[in-house]
Amino acid sequence: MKAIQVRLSFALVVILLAALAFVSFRTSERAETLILPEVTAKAETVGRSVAGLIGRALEVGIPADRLYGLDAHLRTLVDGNPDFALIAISDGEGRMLYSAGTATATDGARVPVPGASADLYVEVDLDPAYARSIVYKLWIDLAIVMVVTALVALELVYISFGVGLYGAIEGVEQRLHAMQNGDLRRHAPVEGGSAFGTIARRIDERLGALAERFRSLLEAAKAQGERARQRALELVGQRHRLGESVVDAPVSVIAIRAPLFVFMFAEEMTRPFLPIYIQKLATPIPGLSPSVVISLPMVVFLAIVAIAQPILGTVTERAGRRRSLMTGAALGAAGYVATAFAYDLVGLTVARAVTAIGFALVFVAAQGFVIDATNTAQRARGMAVFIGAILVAGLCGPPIGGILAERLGMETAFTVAGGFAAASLLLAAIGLPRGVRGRKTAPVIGWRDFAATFGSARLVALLFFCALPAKLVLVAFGFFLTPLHMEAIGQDQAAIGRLLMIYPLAMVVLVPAFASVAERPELRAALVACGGLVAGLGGLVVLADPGDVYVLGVMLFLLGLGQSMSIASQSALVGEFGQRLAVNESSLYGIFRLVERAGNALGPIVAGALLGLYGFSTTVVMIGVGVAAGALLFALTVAVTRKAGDSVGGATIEGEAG
Amino acid sequence: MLKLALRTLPLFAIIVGFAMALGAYMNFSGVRTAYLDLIGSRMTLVADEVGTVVEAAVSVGIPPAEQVTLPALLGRQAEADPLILSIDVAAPDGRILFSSTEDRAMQSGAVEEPDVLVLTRTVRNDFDVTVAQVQVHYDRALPGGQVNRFGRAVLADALPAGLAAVLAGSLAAFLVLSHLHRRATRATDEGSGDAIEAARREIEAAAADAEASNPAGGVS
Repeated sequence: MKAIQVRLSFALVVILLAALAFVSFRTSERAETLILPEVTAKAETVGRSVAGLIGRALEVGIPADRLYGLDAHLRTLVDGNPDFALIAISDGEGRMLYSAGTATATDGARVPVPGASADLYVEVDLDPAYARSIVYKLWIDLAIVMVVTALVALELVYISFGVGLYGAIEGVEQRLHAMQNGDLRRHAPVEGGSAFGTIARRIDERLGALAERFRSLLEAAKAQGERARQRALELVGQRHRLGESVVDAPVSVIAIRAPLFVFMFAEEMTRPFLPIYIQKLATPIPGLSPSVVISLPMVVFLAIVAIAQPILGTVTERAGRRRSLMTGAALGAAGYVATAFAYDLVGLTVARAVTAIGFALVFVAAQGFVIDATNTAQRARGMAVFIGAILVAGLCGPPIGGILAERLGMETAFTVAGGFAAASLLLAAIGLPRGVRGRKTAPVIGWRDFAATFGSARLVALLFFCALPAKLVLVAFGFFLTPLHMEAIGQDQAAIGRLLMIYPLAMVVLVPAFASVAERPELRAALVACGGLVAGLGGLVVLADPGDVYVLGVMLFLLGLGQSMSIASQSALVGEFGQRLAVNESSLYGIFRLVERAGNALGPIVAGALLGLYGFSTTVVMIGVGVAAGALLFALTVAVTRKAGDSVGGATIEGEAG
Repeated sequence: MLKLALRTLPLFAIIVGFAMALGAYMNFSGVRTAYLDLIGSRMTLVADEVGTVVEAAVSVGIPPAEQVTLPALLGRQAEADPLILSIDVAAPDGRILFSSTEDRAMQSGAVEEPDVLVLTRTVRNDFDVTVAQVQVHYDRALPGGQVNRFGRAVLADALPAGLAAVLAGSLAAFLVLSHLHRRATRATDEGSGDAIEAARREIEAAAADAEASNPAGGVS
């Protein structure tokens, strides 16, 4: 980000957060007056219900002191409702005849028993911790809302920069910043229609005149053989880098951010409700459990994305990135709308398949666009634009999609997703430059590359014990099991969307931190193994209470923590382990991505099959333990091969290469 | 500068305004969900009470249609909460077997009623087969009115806060941009004494000094 963007973003975020904090504070105050009386109302309802039951018993002649089983009934009520601390039947003097739970100072209700000869009351005490927890949960929700809102605003600022007037503003700021540091290189021209564009042009003219003056003096000195003058001029030139040009990330890379973000947002917003929608349309298929049936459209989507991506590199290169992206966005829009109108599983699966082709096209075309528009020096910054758009979409999409589905219905939410995909098409048509020629980017992977890669024990361990399980567990926990389970425990789509934010949030915050640790090669294998262990064993937390949303939140956070630890190291280790193999780096990374995508596609089917057989908790534990076991096997393989390598020198590695 | 302000500030006003609207709506939506969940949990409690009784009778061989004491129980439970309009026990085909409201009993099926929400609890026998459904019909208008009032209150808070944020955001953006504009305008001025001018002087001085120190222009 440029300094001007940072300053503007900071100012906007501070103002937004202040305004939202005010609104949230007021909302919380009002919410307490709306929600807390409902807790009391529930106590009154249960009080009247129990009083009615006792009244009926008294009516048929059972004495008040012989209501056998009443204690057990009260116990069931207290155990089933965490908001109640105590339910008791007391007489007029406050003596408890029957009770379950522990008395608190928070009175909920005191209801007289109808038809009792003496004073008899049903008393319900509320658990103050429950009321507090409602307020805490509300505040957590409000905090998440603030984060999402600020991120959306930042993304809008980011998208706005780099094109038109904002590209010119950014260009001017860049020139001033460089001049301030004595750097007087020439810059790529910016659009000159605005005041800032005119200023940038004038600065460029001054820089150009200076460079021209420098060149003419230097050439004159050279022509006249005045070496002292030449050296003096060269020293000044070096100090100010006169005659050089700034290697900027081209403005065209920024142009990809808007269509890519909007399209990815469309897909991400379906995450909280997609499995539930499939569940709604699913009909039994003989021989398959319902949860496997639910997983099928997701498997089809992810399998198409996995298979199509390596092929589409060449396709988008030939057809042009802009046209490919627009075609992908159109297919995506059609797919989402068709999903909204699907009335059976087959129709839904076909609609998701169309969406998958669109998704893969957009993804590959956008990635290719970045590669085409950057040289090696600019690539990292270009890819940061690409990855940033996907990450921010992953953060903002689920909570907003969840709310839309909750309020407008899942069908409408899919139609809105289609609208976003169509908006992506429009943004690509408006913002992406025409006629950018593609460069060959897609590595052609041959059988020999596979043979060489799979001949390395360490690479096999990395790919199949770590990379594949990492993607499998992400899709299984994050995209399949959590939404379905939350629906099953009575959570709405808005709550599911907010919870699904935890994973990308953890990734955004933690990946840069662990990526810097991963720069130390000796720690990479340990990070990958530890990451797998954390992500996998994190699943065991569901054993505490699978019905508690916060437990699920902890599970997703540990998944994010584990993946953050391993993701950068995994990529680095692929290159490191494959260094001496007879396979080029592009093909090696192509195989790595292919294995990862296979993990994506396996996620729903594995989770669906296990869910049908063993239920949520056991499925999560089994997948989690599997992932952790994979991490241990990887660590063991690395330790053994390292030891063998140490004892026989380079022979093992040479052997691998052969 | 006015032209610049007119061209740049609407964008920031839109971004801040959109973000505030989104934030306020999500705030409202979160509280609305929490409120309706609490009401739903109250109704679930009542449905569970009835459902447990029906299931207990089914487990000792009394089919739901023959549980003739149910109307009294349904009546008592319906009186337990002022929001409840009626409680029905229906057969799996939707036919109402018993109801807390007499005229609903033996009706052929559920009729969509405006301003009425229905919470359904399935009753299963020991073989996990659905034998009946407990349907709690409750008033949508009362909680709906509360939610609407709450929505208006959130809007009343969010509108001035949003307007203030739009103004403050636009002002902040304007200050940042006008500061940059001032600096940039100075940088276009030949006589500003900036880095370009300093470098030009250095070049000229380097050329002149070298010439002065070595007027013959030979190798030093």
